Amino acid sequence: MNATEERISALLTERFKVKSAAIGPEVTLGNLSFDSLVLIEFGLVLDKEFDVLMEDGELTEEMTVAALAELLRTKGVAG
Amino acid sequence: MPRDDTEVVVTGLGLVTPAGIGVESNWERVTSGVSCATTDAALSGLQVDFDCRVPGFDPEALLGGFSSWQLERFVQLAIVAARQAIADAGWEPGAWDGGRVGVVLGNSLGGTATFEEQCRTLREDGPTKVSPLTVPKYLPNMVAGYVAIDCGARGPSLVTATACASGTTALGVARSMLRNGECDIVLAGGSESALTPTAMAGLAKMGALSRRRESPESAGRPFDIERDGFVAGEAAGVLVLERAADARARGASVRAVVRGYGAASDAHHPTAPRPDGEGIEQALRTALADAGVAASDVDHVNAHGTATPMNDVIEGRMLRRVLGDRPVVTSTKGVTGHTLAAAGAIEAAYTVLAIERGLVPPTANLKNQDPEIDLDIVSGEPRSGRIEVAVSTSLGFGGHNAVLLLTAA
Repeated sequence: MNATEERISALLTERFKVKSAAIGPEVTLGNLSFDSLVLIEFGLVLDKEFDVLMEDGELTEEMTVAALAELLRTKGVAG
Repeated sequence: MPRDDTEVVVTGLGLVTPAGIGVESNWERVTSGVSCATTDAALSGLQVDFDCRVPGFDPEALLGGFSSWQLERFVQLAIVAARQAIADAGWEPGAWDGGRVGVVLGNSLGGTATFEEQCRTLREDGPTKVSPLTVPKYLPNMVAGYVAIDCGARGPSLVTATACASGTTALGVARSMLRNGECDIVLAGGSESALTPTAMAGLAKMGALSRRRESPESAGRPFDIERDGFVAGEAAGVLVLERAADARARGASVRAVVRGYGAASDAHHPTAPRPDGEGIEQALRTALADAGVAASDVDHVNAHGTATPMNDVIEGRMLRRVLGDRPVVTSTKGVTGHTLAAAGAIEAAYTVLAIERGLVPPTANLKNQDPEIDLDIVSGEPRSGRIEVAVSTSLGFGGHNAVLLLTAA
């Protein structure tokens, strides 16, 4: 995993109590059983952690950790 | 003994309280008569900075199957208590007809921790940063919803909110549902975890809480002349209730009979109990009549006994007036603190244990009994003796009074 993916992974483990073994670049948020409200909650956590602005609905159940890292890169997060 | 096949019996107990996680650890601590109150760093700087928390509660370890961070603590405590009660009753969720299983749990303050945190977020970061889980985590009824999810209970589920009587109300409502044939099994009890700065500061400002900051362990003194208020606590208690005929048919072990229930309202004042105790007296007399038991047959009372100056004298005089001086009385709140909506549920469980084991726990910190309270109250050591009939009393802000009458199996 690249640096951004590692940071996402750490957030998922610490804040959302996801087991680290369950996380990888190709794992989708849906695989982690994130429902629509948890996706919005996750967006708020990303806002704070990466100092970005996630729009409601921007995160989807189909989005992989790698795709999320790429999305954050387009929002100016150095990875 | 149950009077007939529709009589409701207790087949399982689950307890997650300041006195421990599990029935046996609870009984050991409650019969020791040692208070669970300690200084709480989360309340630092408040007028009252001590309470009774559940020790060693690890949601990650205890809540397999759930993302524990999504659950408020009052829900977490209840799920663990419900799982204990179901196992104690000898049920396997999935082996039962979920459509015939109900859940009735008391709660009063809901998810105050989330609410306080999100109020801060709104103020500091603005409305777009408020969590989408704010309302689902706050809602008091989520405790019944999550317990139903956890064990596949698809019968009626609801939360009772009669403040500090909520747990007792829940048991009374559950009993009615079974007698009416609405369900075959009900998980009934109460849960509360609201030891947050705003709630505690509010209770302190009301004058409801003991101010003995220098010695929390001796702060809660039910029925003592020097009592100065209650110690707030968190807990969950769940009882599995079934009809006697069903319990017998499946060979379940019956722990006690829920033989009577009574409820009444003070219609007097939002927070102060009626000085003459007529509301709680009516609830007690209704429970006795419902059970077909004479007042003189009551062996034991697990009193509401909060240790507020008003409650204990009003309740104490009422108990003496209705039951005389025969019953052996205790207030287990001296040990557990006042767990608000959970209190009636955990005290019903302690009453079941007292009946089963012929042992009444002592009232912690009762050194000099208030002379206005002319009752046989256990202090110091637990008291042995045969108990056939026992009552558990509860009074709640709002003028809610509820009494459960339990008898030996």
